[in-house]
Amino acid sequence: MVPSPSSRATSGEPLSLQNFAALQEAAEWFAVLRGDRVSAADRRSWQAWHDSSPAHREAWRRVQAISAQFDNLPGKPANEALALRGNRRRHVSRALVLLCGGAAVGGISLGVPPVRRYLASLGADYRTGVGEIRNVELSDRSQLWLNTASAADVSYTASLRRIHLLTGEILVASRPDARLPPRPLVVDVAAGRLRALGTRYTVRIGDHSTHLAVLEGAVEVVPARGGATRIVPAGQQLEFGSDWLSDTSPANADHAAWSRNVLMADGTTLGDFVAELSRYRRGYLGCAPEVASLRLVGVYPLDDTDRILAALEASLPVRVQRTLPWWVSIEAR
Amino acid sequence: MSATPLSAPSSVNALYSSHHGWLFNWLWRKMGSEHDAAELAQDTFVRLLSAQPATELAEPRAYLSTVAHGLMVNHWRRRALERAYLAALAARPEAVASSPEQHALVMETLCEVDAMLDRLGIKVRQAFLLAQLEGLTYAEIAGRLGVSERMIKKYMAQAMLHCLLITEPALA
Repeated sequence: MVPSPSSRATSGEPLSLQNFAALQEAAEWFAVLRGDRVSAADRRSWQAWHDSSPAHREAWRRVQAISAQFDNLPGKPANEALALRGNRRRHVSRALVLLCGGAAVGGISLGVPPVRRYLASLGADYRTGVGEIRNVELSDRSQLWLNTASAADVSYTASLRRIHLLTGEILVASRPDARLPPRPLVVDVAAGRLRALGTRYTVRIGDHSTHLAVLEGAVEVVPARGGATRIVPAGQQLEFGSDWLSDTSPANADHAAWSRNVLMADGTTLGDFVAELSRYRRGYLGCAPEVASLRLVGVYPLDDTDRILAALEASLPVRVQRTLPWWVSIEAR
Repeated sequence: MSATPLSAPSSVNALYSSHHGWLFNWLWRKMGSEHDAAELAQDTFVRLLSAQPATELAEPRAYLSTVAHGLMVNHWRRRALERAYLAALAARPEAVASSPEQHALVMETLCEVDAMLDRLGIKVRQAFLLAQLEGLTYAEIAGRLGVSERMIKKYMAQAMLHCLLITEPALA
């Protein structure tokens, strides 16, 4: 694709946190400098950023290489062709979802909760498929991200801003309400209600409990069947059910990495990492016990989970065994 | 367990002689064109020759059909893109002439860009393409997509980061 005379890391090595940060900053600078109103001050601070490290220069060189690819295309027809393709894909995936829905109806007699949750999610306002991550701006400019295989309803009334998480995981970055008196922002899950106190946090529905991690501000947790409530401050996480609350423990910012389309590993065990990764793939993804305790560090883009598997193979003494296309296990090499 | 390295020409030869006919038929049934099936069967084996040795092939036909399926999807995708592009050209008021070489280069780049932008959210993709290909301002794009200008700036950063990560050599 883009020729890269990069002297950096050999192929297959995970991207370091530092280089990831350089790419992220380069992308942000690109968005600023491509903008409608670029000031001289913007240009000066970009220059200072650019000159301050070789990683920044390399990241910027790659931004330019990517941008240059578009210069070689006849603008309007190329955009129309690509737009058509984009729309086509949407239709295909919607048709697939409906087909899956039909299949799920066939299985309803089993009455297993995940199926019911899935059925409930079919009519949801916002929904993502396996491997899909979506960002939505709500009418009060609060931001909602849906992680893989998630669904949520959003209803704003005169007295309440309510997000109902039906399945999966969301990240909420709330903004103070512009209306007076300000309406509280709540996230409802089967197990209870979470009230935002000016904040950024993730909520994830698990098989047996719901997990809350607060990144900024604070969140009040009210279990559905009463009992104690608790205010969880920034940097803390807890699990809860409809009539219980766990103790809080420290949470780190990695909980929201998925909203930037990446999975972070910071000394994470391979077992935990693979369990997390499997949420973004269809089919089975497992890890042999003898390699489950290997640790890894890196930032892995979620766009292509096969590439993550290849990166694991390149950096750890493991091999990826593909018994069938949808049955993949990671084993000792 | 003695592993046969997949990349050794001799083992690809052996695979070729025992499975090429089967693969050709498999592709032919799916694609309905002898020419396309022959070409993709060939490409599948070329892919095996250049692949890094993975493991011994317990199920060679399952492996071959997986590789061939991937190539088939790319093939259809490329063809759909080419049709869409030609249709867009045909709808232009002015005549656009290009040599076969130029056309091939444009198609190559279009496919790369399409693959690079795959998986991006629809609005992010639209915003990025409107800016990069049609040179619209953020305000104009915001108007077309019905979102704020601030959001367009976010989309642009998101799309560029996505492209950077997709093409990141350390992750290749």
